[in-house]
Amino acid sequence: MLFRVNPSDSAPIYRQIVRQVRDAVASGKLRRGDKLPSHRELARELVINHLTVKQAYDALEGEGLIRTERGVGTFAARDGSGNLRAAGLTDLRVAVRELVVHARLLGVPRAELLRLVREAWSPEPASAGRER
Amino acid sequence: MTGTTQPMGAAPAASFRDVTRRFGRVEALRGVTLDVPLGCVFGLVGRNGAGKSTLLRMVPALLHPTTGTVRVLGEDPWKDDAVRRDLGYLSDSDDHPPRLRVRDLTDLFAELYPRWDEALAARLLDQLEIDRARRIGSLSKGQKRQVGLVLAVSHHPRLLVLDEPAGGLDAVARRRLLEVVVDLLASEGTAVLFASHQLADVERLATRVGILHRGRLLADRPTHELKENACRVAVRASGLERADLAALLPALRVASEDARHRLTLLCRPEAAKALLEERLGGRAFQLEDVQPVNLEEIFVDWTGEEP
Repeated sequence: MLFRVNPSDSAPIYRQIVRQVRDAVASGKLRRGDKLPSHRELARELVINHLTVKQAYDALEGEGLIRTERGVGTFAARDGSGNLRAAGLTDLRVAVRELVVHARLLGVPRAELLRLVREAWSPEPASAGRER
Repeated sequence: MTGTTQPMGAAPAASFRDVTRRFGRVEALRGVTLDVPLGCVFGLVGRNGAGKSTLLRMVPALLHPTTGTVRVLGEDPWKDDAVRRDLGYLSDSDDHPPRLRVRDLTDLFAELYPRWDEALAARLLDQLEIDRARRIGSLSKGQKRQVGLVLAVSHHPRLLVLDEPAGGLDAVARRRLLEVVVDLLASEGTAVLFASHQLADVERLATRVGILHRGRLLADRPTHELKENACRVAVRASGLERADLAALLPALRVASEDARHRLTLLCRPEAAKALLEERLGGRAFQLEDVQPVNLEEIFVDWTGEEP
């Protein structure tokens, strides 16, 4: 996979790397056993401090998305098709929190927001045809 | 590193304690206290004249503090010559004699520094495509900075001090210089203290950021924390003036137009609402928007004066 960082983004660089690995696993671009670049290689490629790469890899390892074998390398530890819940849930929680904040700012009550979520989850037959 | 006389986990690479510096009536530094731990890359940012170069020049003993103490690897740089051999320094001006050739300078540094690594210097000069037969005066500004960097790092310093390393360089020259530093960090774990106006470079390299403003250190935090603990908010509050908000909140900047206020707050975006509720003590307000910010926005709001 190709990594890309943008220093002028509001997310710290290590978070940008974490997000990209999560996305790559979720989308199947990165599969269990695929090798990731070493701290040093990725630091070189992105022209960033290797400690920032380490910070990202440590977080990903904590989520169980990657594992490091000493002297061998760092590998993806999961397949996107498998159980990605634990890692994804963190992101999802942030997204939901943002959604709730957004709803409150708009003055949308709880019940109405929940209705919108239900609607998005399984669109009404009239609007979505026969697909489930 | 076993068997060395250096105690493990001892003194920071550089340490400043309550450092002030006056030039005549001008107070360039006012009570600056900061540590650059071993292995840390400390990025110092500040506007022109904030005192960055003054602070950095104290490390290689080019400038005395008026009051306060400066320690380099635990030693007083004015008293301990040995410690200066553990230092690499790139000044903000290109001050090598223009008539000398690059080769003359590397030869001179090889004499001065017992740990000079000729192979490293040769590799870096090759990587940067600099011909050693060239005279300093004939090099471009970017090449002069690059030569300065090679001279500053080729004796494997334990602390590297870079004053505006990318100043006046084009994008390619800047990137090459950064690559050299990134490689060096990864292979040697060198501590670095550098000043830069290039906030993107600071973000790429620095594990810690200090904001210097009018001689005072306003912030000193891990880079990612600085970024994550700030946000911009838009608030509508009819009963509150700009000055009220500035006094009640940890705000870097408050811009008001009638009852609408735009603030930059020192808190996580998701904590903004609770903070406003707490600090505004029951006064009615409406939070219209919350946005995260990047390093440049934080810097500009923090050092752009007001509130």
